[in-house]
Amino acid sequence: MMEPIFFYGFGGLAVVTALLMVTRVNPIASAVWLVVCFFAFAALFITLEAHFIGVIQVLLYAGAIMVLFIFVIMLLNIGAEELKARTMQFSGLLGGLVTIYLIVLITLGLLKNPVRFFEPLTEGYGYVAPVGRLLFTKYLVPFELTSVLLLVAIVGSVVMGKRKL
Amino acid sequence: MMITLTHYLILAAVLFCIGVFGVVVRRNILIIFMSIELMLSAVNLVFLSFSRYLGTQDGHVWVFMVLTVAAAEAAVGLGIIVALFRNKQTIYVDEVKELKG
Amino acid sequence: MNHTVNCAISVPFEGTFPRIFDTCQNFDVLNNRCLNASEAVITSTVMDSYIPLLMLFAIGIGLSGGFVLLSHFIGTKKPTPEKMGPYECGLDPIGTPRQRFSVKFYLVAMLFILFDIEVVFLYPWAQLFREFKLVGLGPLLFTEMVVFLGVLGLGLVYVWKRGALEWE
Repeated sequence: MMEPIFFYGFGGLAVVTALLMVTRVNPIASAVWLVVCFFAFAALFITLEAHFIGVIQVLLYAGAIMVLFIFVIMLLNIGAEELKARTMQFSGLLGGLVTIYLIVLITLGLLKNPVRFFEPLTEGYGYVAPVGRLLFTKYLVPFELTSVLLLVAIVGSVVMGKRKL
Repeated sequence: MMITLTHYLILAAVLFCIGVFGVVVRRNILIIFMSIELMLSAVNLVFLSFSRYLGTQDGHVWVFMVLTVAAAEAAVGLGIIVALFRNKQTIYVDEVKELKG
Repeated sequence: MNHTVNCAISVPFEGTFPRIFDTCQNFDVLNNRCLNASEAVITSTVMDSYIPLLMLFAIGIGLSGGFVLLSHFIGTKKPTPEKMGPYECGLDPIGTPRQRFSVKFYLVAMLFILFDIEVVFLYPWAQLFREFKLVGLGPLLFTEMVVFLGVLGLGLVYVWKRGALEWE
């Protein structure tokens, strides 16, 4: 089966690019690594048979949100001379150790559980139509509230971004 | 060798902890913000793995909601960063310490 | 392993294929005969549709990376000050190329994102509308989307009245 190859390949890609994203000094480099990371995430979603969500991940995260990030980075335009070279300090070392401890703790906790295999799925799992059917019937109220959230975001960002009100 | 639910959960935990590392250690506010997006994506991975395990698609709808919240958060948060830079001329969180006692 | 084609999806080229495709769900391409349901082994036909995408990525990364590595290893490099300058002929650049963007671009990009999400919600709506109409739920689905778009339309009116769309 190809499944382990895809899982370890894209999972490894996601972890490596996430580490690169966190450790770069230049925010532009971070943003580009994060785009690659989101592509790996989309591939992982597709290995989980979430086809629609995988496409949306590329469309929204890699396509739209990261464009906004790169826009803002270029807008602020921190020159290379202003970027502080942050060497590995005590806080970085401590943070790294705590992170590794956290990972080990969660992993050991998860490994105590019995092994749970994935069952075969019904036809059409994760396509646009079944997900949409849930969205427009069972989750109707969250869907409508989403529009209110977006309205608040529109108003908030205009208030923040407009220089003179 | 089969890929099980635990594999995906451990992967999501590792990615989430990398995001936590970025938030805790980095002082560039843009990279902190990107780390938050990474953590949100790791949570989405957990949602989708449990959906796959249970054979339901409710998790997919919630991932949809999380994506919407992430986009709204990015729009407002980046607006706050722009306003911060306009007033303080810095994007380093350790230089914003007016409220420090 | 049987090489099966799920023939239910052969709409775009209707008529180009033999008539058997219209009735046969699992057509064995190699042996040129129709398989019945017990014979057919459909091995993740959905995942097979990602193979072209993977090939595209592999060829793209391999080709561009291969050329960069090739020119890095077999190209001769003799840097002179003239070659390392921004232009080999013409004036030296004056000032920094890092001009700060105007905040106007940010507002437009951000409004793009918020309305982009709105469009993402329209995809499942558009696909499901006929199905909902057939079971008599068409007005409900229509009203849902009108309310959703109406609230976002309020946002658009606000942005417009606030003058955030004007380019000054």
